[in-house]
Amino acid sequence: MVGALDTRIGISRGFGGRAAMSGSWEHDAAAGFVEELFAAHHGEIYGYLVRMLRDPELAADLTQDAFIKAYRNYNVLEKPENARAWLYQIAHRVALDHIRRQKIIRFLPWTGESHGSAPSTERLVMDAHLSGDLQRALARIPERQRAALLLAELHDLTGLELAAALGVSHVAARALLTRARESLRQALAAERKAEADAETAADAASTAGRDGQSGTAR
Amino acid sequence: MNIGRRRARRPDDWPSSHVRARSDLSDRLDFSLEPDEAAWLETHLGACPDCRSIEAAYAAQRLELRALRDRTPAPPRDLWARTSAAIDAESRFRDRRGRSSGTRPRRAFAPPAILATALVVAVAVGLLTSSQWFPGDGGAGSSAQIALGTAPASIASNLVAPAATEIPVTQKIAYLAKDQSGDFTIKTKYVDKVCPSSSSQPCNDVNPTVDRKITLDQAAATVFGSPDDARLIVINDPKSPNSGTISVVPLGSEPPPPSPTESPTVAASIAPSELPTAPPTATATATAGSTPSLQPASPPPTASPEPSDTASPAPSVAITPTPNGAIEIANDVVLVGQSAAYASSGDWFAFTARPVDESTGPDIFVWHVGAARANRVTNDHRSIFGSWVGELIVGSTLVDSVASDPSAPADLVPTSFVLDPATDVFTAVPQAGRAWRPAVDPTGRRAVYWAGSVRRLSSSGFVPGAGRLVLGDWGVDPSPSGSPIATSAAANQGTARHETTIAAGQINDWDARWDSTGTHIAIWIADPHNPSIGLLNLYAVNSFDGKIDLKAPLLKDAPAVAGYSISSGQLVWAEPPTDGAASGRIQLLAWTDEGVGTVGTVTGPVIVIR
Repeated sequence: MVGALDTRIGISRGFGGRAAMSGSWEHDAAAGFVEELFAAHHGEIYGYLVRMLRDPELAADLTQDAFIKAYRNYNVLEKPENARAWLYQIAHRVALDHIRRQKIIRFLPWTGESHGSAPSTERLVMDAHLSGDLQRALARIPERQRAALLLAELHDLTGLELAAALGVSHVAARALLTRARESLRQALAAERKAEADAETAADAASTAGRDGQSGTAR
Repeated sequence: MNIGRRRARRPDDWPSSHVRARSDLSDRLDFSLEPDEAAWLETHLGACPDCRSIEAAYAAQRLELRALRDRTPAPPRDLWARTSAAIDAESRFRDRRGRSSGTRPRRAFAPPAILATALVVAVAVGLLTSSQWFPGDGGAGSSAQIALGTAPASIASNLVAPAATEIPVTQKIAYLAKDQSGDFTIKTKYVDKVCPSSSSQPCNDVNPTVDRKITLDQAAATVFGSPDDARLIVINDPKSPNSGTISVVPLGSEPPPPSPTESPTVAASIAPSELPTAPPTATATATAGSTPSLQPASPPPTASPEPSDTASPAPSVAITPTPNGAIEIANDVVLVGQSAAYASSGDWFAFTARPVDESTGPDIFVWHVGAARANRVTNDHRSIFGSWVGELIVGSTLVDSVASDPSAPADLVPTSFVLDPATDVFTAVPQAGRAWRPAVDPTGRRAVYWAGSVRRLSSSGFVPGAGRLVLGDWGVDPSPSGSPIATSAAANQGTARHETTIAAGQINDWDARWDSTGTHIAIWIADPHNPSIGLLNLYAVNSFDGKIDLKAPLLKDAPAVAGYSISSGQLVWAEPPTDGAASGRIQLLAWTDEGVGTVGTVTGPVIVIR
């Protein structure tokens, strides 16, 4: 990854300071840059998007989209050491853009054709695979809070990296993380209570059924 | 994790000691608290069993989350092959684009940014007519003063900020300067500090500018810059001989404009005479996609935004690249309103325009980077672009209502829609109620819009009627469930949409824009007597409930020429000329975690810019 990044850093900058380079060189540099980024980070970017969107196929599409955006904007990144956070930032925006678009479309209750309203087969499989109260609770909290938690706890982004990925100040990132933890705590509590209630109801029904069968036998 | 220190909060900053404890408990997972705060927390925990349970819950939550690392799904094996193929396709497309104009691209490749700076350069929206701004071109500077009624107050009095020392920032502004010979120069200035309102001395930036000559039409009056600084979109003064032209001027290594001989017939027309008209009996239903009908509470609507396919491609509009590489993407139109903007991706630019001859009302146009012409994407002559949400256009149109007195002119009822310029899929959003010209925040949750009726000003223009300029809920309930809001216009819209009234009374024009994070909203309201100047306010948006505190603006009633820019952490505007001066100053207001401050940067005949 270093090679392409180092080459890229040599590009002149400034308003009107676009590097004078041929299209093919630019493509080669950008493509090489993205290829190295992809090799190093595509797994974690895909994992992040799967957890954000809970749809493996969609996550794959958006992972591809994120790397294409990285290709388009490869000369925007100033410091190679920030490449990972920068990539997460792109992925985060891609995910939020998708979610916002879906929300706008979902805003139309009478159409009945909200894109993505019906879960895909892959999503059902993923839900089964990653089911559990934690996953359900994560899905219930606002997406920006979910993103903050996933990036901090699962993807180990440090404070400034987290802020960069979320596109906010480090103070805002920290506040977001605080709200996220509290939201998740409450969502988890609600999930577990609902689960316990359901089990209690099931037990009661089962007991009633057994009692009924016993009565019939007598 | 080292996240950095928040400003130390006083104990009475917190709504309750339990909220403070929860914040500390979260922070403590990532780093050590300050000794005093740690001691306070321990004392609190000792007396608060609930808080101790929360502490345990946070710790357990972390363990559970980290356990998910072991269950990370594997990406598809062909992911690189797909990505690589897509990149190659983009590269080929880009190569082709340099040779021919092609049809209107779908998600076309955007040229790489010229700037490597991390600053968001949402560019200059200079909505200054040359007759108002440049000396010798009409000398209307004094009229601005008269129309405004009062001399502009000092920035310090407009700025509401508590800090007392200079605030370091890393902002950049750019603007167009016009010299006496009429030549334009792009001037870029980096600003490293701003001054809070409490500063006793005038705060002026003296950093040098980076200059770059550029060839523009002498009539250039309104300038939009692309997010990647690759080009300017220049709109001529409607009063000039060359009025009605909207051009794209490439900067840097923008690929050459399409040849006029290669594919002229794919150009989208914006000449009204070349476009089909809306069916007279059409409803407000947009049918470009799987779109439902739009059903206002009363009478059948008579207007209908039509998809772009009805308006394009249009026959034979000549493409005329100029020596500076500029291409005219629209002719014979006048920009309507202040809402023209690039999508955040920089791939699309949308604006509202009407014919110069006022033969019809306004429609929405979209230009894609690399395209030869702008496409008209509505066809009802009463649609106005509101804002972008991602790469979707949010706009509004008007439907007729029935007046109680048939002889009286009926007000028009606004209604909003969403349009995907890439697919032309149009989606009405009547749930938004009476919302005209919605400026939606980047999260899609809140919007500034006119909540009320609209009056027809002339055959081609519309102005707000009875109603209010408000900040209200937009698409999605901010609750964690994300459930849609199902408010209708029939309901109490103000309450249901949590509307905050920003302004009421006679308002002819306004310009509301969000910063890139949706945490700040700037609202410029035009002077009723001179629409080229007005008052500018800036508000911080409460991240919890999405509301603004009208009593605590970050900038209050600053006189400003139409056309300002707001981006991440900065607001740039031009003061109107005062006291016979040729022009006012360009002002930069910046906000950081350390406070809010401003700096005056330049005086002289310039077109605003960021």
